[in-house]
Amino acid sequence: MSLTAICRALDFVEANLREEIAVADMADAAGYSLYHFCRTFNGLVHHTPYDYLMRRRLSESARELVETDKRIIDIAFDYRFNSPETYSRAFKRMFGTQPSQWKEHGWPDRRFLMSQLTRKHLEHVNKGDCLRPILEERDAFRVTGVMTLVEGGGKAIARLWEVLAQELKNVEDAECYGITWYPAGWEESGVFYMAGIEVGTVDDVNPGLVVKSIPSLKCARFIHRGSQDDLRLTLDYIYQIWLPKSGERLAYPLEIVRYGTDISAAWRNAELEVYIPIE
Amino acid sequence: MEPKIVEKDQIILVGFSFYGDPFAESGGWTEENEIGRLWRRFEAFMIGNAGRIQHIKDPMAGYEIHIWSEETAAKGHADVFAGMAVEKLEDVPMEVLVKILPPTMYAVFTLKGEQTITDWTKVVYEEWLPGSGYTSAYNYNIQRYDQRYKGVDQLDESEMEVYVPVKKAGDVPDGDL
Repeated sequence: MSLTAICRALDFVEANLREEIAVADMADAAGYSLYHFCRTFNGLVHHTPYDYLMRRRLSESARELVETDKRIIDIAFDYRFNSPETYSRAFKRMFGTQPSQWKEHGWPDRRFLMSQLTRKHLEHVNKGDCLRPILEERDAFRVTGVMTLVEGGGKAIARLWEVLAQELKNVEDAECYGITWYPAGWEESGVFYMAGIEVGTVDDVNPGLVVKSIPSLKCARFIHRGSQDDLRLTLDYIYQIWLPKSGERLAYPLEIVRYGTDISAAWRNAELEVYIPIE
Repeated sequence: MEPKIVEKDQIILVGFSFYGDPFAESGGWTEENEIGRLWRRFEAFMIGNAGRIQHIKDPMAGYEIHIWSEETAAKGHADVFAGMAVEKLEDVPMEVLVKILPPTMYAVFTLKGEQTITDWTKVVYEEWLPGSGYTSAYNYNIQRYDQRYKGVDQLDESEMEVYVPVKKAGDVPDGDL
């Protein structure tokens, strides 16, 4: 099965990030001829094999830049770049900044680092639901709910929804939204997360809750089908594959997830909409 | 897959060429890769310039040549030529390129239906070739499409041929192209 073959190539890449390997070696690991491999890999991963290899190397090097005291030139050679200049150019192409600036800046924004793709990623993405977004203008809207700085995701966010559910016992049929804002340095500080429901007016909102106004935004709207846990897979695809390939640029470090009217059902397994603001 | 072994004289092709990553296109999100686009470009030229390519051997036959090198292996690139065979190297319009393939022996495989989209390259070079008494003579191969190939939407009724340049094992190498 081609998925298994491509996963062998992905494993091979991880084992050889710092070795001199060619795409032909990845094809051998998969057990395919070069051309057939490239076609199959691209069809399942949605990056070409060479692109994926370079992005994985650059992403691991980006971590090392901030997590170690290694010199840039040593990192460049470790990851098989011919010279610090080639490394800088490739780095800038992927991250929009020089390795030296990145090192000073401190923390890498994990959203944009190419994740080590797994079988789970490939299976999820190739169900096809999230592959192609619809670009649209989203009207301004208001949400009311609870918002906090969240570190480490899942549980804290689930707790926030429980709190909100208590406050909104009598509300029915409200559209639920999870809104994430990534402040600079969010890897250390955490992200702002708001669990809320859409409201028309703010005249009679519960004074214990906050209100957030989202202006009208140009968005890429993706469908996510699956559990809340798998949302990570869709987001990895959006930031690490769709975004660089589409040539679109993020307008704000903002994610809006629309859960529909039944949040607990949506949390387990549902069709969600993920809105990413683009320029 | 058992091939016929044939001797062929020099083959002269006119057409267009692509070098690079056939799957790397960004933004477009089309299903078609660069090789499909290469064929569309050639077909458009043929329609728009009817009669300008002369001495065509077989108006129904299209040739797709894949050439490999260290560079294509390193990056997964493809070096592809798409075109038609002509009788002689005369009256070639300025817009098209010419590819001349050397006289050589070929192992000719006929691929049918689903076979055409399987990894036949692997089968040919890794399964058939090692036990065949032949070795690869040049670093290219030819896919030949004619009226028997109906397209990917009619794969079941489709046939194509693959020409693999070979020499008897043990013969003095002819060298790379």
